[in-house]
Amino acid sequence: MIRHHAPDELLLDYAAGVLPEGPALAVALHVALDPGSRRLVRRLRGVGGVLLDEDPGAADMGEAALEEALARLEDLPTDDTPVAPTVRKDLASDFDWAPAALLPYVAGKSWRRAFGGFDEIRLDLHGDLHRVALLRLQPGEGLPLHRHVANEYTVVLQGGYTDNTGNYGVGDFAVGPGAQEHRPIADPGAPCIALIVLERPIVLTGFWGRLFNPLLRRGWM
Amino acid sequence: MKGGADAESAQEVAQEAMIMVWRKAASFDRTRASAATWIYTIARNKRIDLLRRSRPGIEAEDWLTVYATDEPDPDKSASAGQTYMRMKELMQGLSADQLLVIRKAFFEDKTHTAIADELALPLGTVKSRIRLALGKLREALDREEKEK
Repeated sequence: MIRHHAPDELLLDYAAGVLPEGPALAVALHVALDPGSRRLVRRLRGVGGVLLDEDPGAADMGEAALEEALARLEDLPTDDTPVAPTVRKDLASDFDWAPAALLPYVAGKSWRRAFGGFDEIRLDLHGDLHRVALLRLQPGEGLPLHRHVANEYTVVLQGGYTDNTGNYGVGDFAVGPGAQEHRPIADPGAPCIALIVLERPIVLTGFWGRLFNPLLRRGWM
Repeated sequence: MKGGADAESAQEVAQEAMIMVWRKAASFDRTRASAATWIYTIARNKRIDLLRRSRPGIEAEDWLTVYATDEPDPDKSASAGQTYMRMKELMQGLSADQLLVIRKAFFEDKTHTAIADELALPLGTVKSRIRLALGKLREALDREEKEK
């Protein structure tokens, strides 16, 4: 049961295809795990269809382009195989908790120990300034106390965590608490795995924070 | 769909989408979506592919799989045509302010943050317009599905 849904405005941005890759990936994973959000995104595609239908100018592609497309069609066979989800068997064992949309991003990657007592896989995005990583916390372990200077999106993919804003389980979507400090702690049970999308580096608070913030700012950590 | 890029790229997206529609026409399932919705989705995915061209290996086709539901589709109780007409009706019930924001997202490729900037509105106002509009659609459709 999903208790924390992605906000409507993000689902609209996602359905319209306007989100940068990092936030789009976070919403895609949430949508894959949350039937309610999936239903809304499907309906929003319907909204897109209605708008497209009502606005003849929206699909106006120009005479020459149309001719060219028709010419290219001449050479193409029709493809009547239904679109089947790609299952990558080689990845499935290490990443059996990962929704299909995540698999292309984790191919060939493995967990590494990060400062702060958690495991991390950094994901590479091109042309998107968001910092995107998978974090894995053992039960009872927490992230260092930190606050955010910009948007942060979190999607839980395995286990769960608790902070001062509530308890988050598989599929739950959290929007960073902004200037508020928080210290998420992994729940008992399976290790907590979450995708974190950060707009800009976070700011650690406390003694260690003052020590390490200059490194974070330089992207060394 | 302007494609978020110059006219040339927009035409390329339109061409690619048309070719895709042609190739996949046989797999189009009219019980799941109206043709307009289906074509919109294909065009949207083609545009995302174009914007991410620097990144081969991840195609919007992969993203399509996130829509693949493994539970029974509640919309199947009505024909896609009925659902489409109903959506059209419901959208006529939205305020001009609410429709404007949704239209900008779909056809001007603007995130809700960019829309707030452009209209010089507080971010909270844009968010609440979207939430009100989507809340109305969701509430009406959920209620009708339950009644069936």
